[in-house]
Amino acid sequence: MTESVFSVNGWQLVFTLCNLLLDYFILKKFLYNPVKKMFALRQKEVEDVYAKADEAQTAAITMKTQYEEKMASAKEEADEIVRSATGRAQLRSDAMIAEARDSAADIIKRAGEQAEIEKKQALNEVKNQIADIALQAAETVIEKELDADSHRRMIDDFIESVGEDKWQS
Amino acid sequence: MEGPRIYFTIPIFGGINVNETEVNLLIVTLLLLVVSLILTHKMEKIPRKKTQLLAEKIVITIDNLVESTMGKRYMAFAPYMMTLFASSVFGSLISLVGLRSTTQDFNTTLCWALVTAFFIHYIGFKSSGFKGYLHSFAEPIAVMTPINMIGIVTTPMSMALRHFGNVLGGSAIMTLLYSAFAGVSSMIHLPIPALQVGVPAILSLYFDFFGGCMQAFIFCMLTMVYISNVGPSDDS
Repeated sequence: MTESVFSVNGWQLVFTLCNLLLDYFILKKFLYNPVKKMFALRQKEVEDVYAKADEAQTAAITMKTQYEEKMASAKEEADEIVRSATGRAQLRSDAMIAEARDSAADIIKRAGEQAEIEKKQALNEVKNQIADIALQAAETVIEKELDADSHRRMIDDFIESVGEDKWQS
Repeated sequence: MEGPRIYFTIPIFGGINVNETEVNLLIVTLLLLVVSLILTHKMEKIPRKKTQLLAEKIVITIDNLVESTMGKRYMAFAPYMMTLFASSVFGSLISLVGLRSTTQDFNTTLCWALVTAFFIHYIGFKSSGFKGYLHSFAEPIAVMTPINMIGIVTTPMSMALRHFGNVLGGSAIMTLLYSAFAGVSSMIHLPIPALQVGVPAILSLYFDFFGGCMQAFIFCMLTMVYISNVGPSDDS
């Protein structure tokens, strides 16, 4: 028993439609989607690789910049060190020279003072000796003991009035 | 020329016939399932197996075809187009192993054409609204309206009949040729019917294999073109 070669059968149309839907789901689930998923995975991997490469490049560039910056700052630092060292050395030498000058001046001053004191001592000694000589001379002359203290003062006054300038010259 | 055999009748709703075409449709479905599972079996990110390469090639080809014919916005149709093409090709080519082609039944091609018609009107309605959809019948000029109205019926009819007719015609020609060769063999008193062995195989390559693939391709192309024509283009 056969159907007619050319006929339209409602039930068969419905069956064919269901079959088409079944085919659709089978092909979509078992062929189209798995392959698409594989493509997506591959695409993702490629993107990941590219992203990683970009990241590495960025990191390399950052490191290069940092390195260059460090190099530049190191040069600056070295310059700074040299400059400050030079400055310090200059300061220290200036200080040393000043100190030397000061101490030299001090020595000269002290030497001067010492000379002055010695001169004064010498002068005093000379004055005392002259006074003693004068007293002895006067005693001898008048044969009479003079009041040593009052006459010594007189003589000293005399010597003072004669002036130091004269004694010195 | 015989129609599809009726295997049995389900005694409900006044009798539903289970015929050869329906059984063969199920065989095709099973075949598609098996082929899909084989092609996508243990797929890897780096394809090593030929089956995976073939599966990827099929998907890429379908995607490219849908993209170039319908545009990027209709990419969701790619699996359906794949289904339509595979159902049609497998349905036609099962005749090579002696089964009756599913596409040799008008009901099969009519069902597919009606689905296409549904998409044409659904997309047209959805993309331009009720008014725009009605207005599209009066284009390019109002005089065309009756012809466009006829087109609602004739578009799926012509698609269904073209596919059905080609497969049926190929089958009829092959049957005729086969008996013709048998006749010639006996006429020239060959001891064995040698002409029936080799020559029909070559002709079958054209009428069954090439014809089947061609009609599947034409059916899919027409479906894609009709659907993408009613909707907005990629530019708009």
